[in-house]
Formats: sequence, structure tokens, C-alpha cells
Amino acid sequence: MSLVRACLAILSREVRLGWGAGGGALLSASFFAGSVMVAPFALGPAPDTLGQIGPGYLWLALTLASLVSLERLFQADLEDGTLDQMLLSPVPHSLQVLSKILGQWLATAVPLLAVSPIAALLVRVEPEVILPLCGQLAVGSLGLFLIGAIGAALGASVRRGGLLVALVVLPLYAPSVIFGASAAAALASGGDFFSQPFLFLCALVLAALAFAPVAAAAAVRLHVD
Amino acid sequence: MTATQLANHDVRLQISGVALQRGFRRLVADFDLTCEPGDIIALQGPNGSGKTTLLRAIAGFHTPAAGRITLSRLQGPAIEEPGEILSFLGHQDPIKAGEKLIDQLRFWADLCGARRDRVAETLARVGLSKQADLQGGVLSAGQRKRAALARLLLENRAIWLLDEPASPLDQEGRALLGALLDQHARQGGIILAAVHDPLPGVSARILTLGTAESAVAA
Repeated sequence: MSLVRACLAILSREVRLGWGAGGGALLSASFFAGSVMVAPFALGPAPDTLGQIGPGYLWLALTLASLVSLERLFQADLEDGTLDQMLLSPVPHSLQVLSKILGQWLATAVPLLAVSPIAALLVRVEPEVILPLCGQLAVGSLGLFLIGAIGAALGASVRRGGLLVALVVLPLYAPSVIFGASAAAALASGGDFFSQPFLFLCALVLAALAFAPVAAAAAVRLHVD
Repeated sequence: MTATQLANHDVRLQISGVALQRGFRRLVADFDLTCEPGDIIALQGPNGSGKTTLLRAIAGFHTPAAGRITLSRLQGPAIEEPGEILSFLGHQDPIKAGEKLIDQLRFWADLCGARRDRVAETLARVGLSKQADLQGGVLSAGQRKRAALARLLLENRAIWLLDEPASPLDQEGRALLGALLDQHARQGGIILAAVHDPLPGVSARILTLGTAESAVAA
């Protein structure tokens, strides 16, 4: 039971710190909303064009927005010595990292997903497709956060490491984005929610759930020496 | 809190032939130390002589270039992770600026499996009752160190590794530190502290580092 208690403590603290002063939980959501807002200006407001590009554009915005929050995932803890203390706790380190990622996802991605239906309206996604599409974005965002954590862990001790993190993470994002955007395109052309690309995306997320915490924990460990 | 409430610690720390290296610089070579329950060791030496690195190596954060560091219980199961029996107080204080002090200690209590109702009592013990509801960002350096000591008390582990524990503390804080060290040693705990001034209130075995300084060829 103490394991569950410790993991919940890490998760809820991550949410609390994210929403506290200077936590930056809304950074990704604002980046997402902002980038969708300028889409009609950049791509032209023609409903046909936007409607075709829209679902894919939402995926693009989600991918870039999730990068924004990654840099600080482990860096703050490394700088103030929290990471040292967490290594000395009896809870397995990969479980701690998983709780941290889930906490960050709750704090950062949930507001982003909350604004995504409105964002979808802005890029002319068909109204009946909006909610299923946002459901797929939710699943995809969890995968992106898990995979992104590996890069964040590798770049944790690099000052202004955002560029490094992006370089490490973007290639790893490619499969999720490919399957996510194809699933969105399938939805937009009247396909099922559980289309083949979406099932592939789910499989990717499940695999990331299993591997990413272990990989990120090992990478974080390197910086503590 | 009486001594009988706490289990008496019985662990041993053995360091044999340890060499520590940072980059190409060898800090410590062929270092031996055995600590029995109740031992208080003060590590001394000039800046850069490897005191912190030695503490971090014992905590398992740093891998020694040679030698072995063994933690063992005199009775009972073998130790798999240093974190089971060892607390580390570094020169950084893991205090988050945007969170109330009491919440931070509750978090540490949750993480190490201590009872949550001990948090308030522990804060009182280190003289931070009035600061419990303050955000971490407004605490002074001495108050942050006291908060770190409160975490040590919550964790209740046998070996304390302390890096400059007394430096930001005031007179009263040093007296408190001395009392805590004394109580911990009486309960069979082991204390290793990197210090420049003598530890307050207790008599410690003094070990001086900084004689092995030499460059190592790549």
C-alpha cells in the first residue's frame, strides 16, 4: 500500500506544482490554442481547405505543444536535489518516473484537451467528428508525453536544453503522429473511431507506457552522479 | 517521542579501498573506513578534496573508480538499495518555491512511508511550527536546512550522510542539530558529516581528506 501512496503523492504533487505559481501548466494549452488560432490566417479561411487540413493540423499543434512542457520535467528536480531524495526512496525509480509523467500529463494535457474541441471548430472539423477526434488526441497526447519524457530525461542537466530535447524526441514522435493523423483523417472521411491506425496508435501508447518509464529512469540516473 | 518508540538501528557501513575520481582528477585513493552503530564521523579537508563525492558515493549516486562500499544489517535481511537505511542531506535543499512547507513534508512522509500525523510534531521539533503554512520560496537558508532535518527525522533511517549541515544555521539551530545528532547516535545510528567547523554538541571521530590529490593519466 505504501507503494500506491508514494506514487499518488508524486502524481498529485506534480499537478499541484504545475498549477501553483510559476508552474507553467497552461503553457502547452496556450501554445496549442494559439497555434490553432493562427491557422486560418496562415492557411486561408476557405472552409474546404481548412476542413481537409484541420484534423492533421490539430495533431501538428498537439505535437509541438507537448514539446513545450518537456524541458522542465526533470530539470527542476535535478537542480534542487529532489531527484537525489527520490532515488533514496524505497519506491522503484521507474514507478516514480511513471507517476511523475502521469502527473505532468494530468496537469498539462488535460487543459489542452479541454480547449481542443473549440480548436477543432476553428479549423472547421465537422461537428460530429469533433468529440471522437478529441478522444483520439487524448490517447495520443499520453503517448507523446511518455515518449517525450525519455528525451526530457536525457537533456535534464543541459541548460536551455529545449532544443536538444526536441531533437531527441521529434524522431521518436514520428510513428505516433503518423498513426494519429491517419486515424484523424479516417474519422474525418466517415470511418470508425477504432480504425486500424487508431488501434496502432493505442498499441504504441501501451508500449510507451511499459518502456518509457524504465528508459527515462535510466537516463535520469545518469545525471545524478 | 521517546527513544523506546523508535527501533534501534543496527547497521554497519564498510568502505574498503575506495578511490574516487572526478573527470581525470583523483580525489581520494585507497580509502578505508568501518562504521559501527553509534559512530559519528566528521569528514574534513579543503574545498575540492572529495568530501561531497565520498558522501554521494556512499549514497549510491556516484560510482567509485575502485573499491567497495558495503552496507549490512547486523541481523535481518540483506540490504538491496541504499535508500532502505540511509538518508542524505546535501548542500542543495529540495524545497519547492511554490508549495507550502507542510505540504512538502507530507510529500516526503508519503514517499518514505512515514505516518502523516508525525509531520506537525516533527516540524515543531525543528522549530518550524510557525512556518508550516509558508510557501517554500520565502524560507531563509537556515529554515530550509531545518526543513531538511525534519525530513531526515521523518525518514528515520540508520545512516545519516550530512553535507555541511551546520553552515546556514544560527546558534539555536546548531544546538538543535547537536541534540538531533546525539539522539541519533544514541539510538545506534551512524552519522557521516562533511564539515569545516567541528560538529556542534557531539564528539566526533575526525577524518581528513585531501592528501591523495594527484592527476590520473587518461
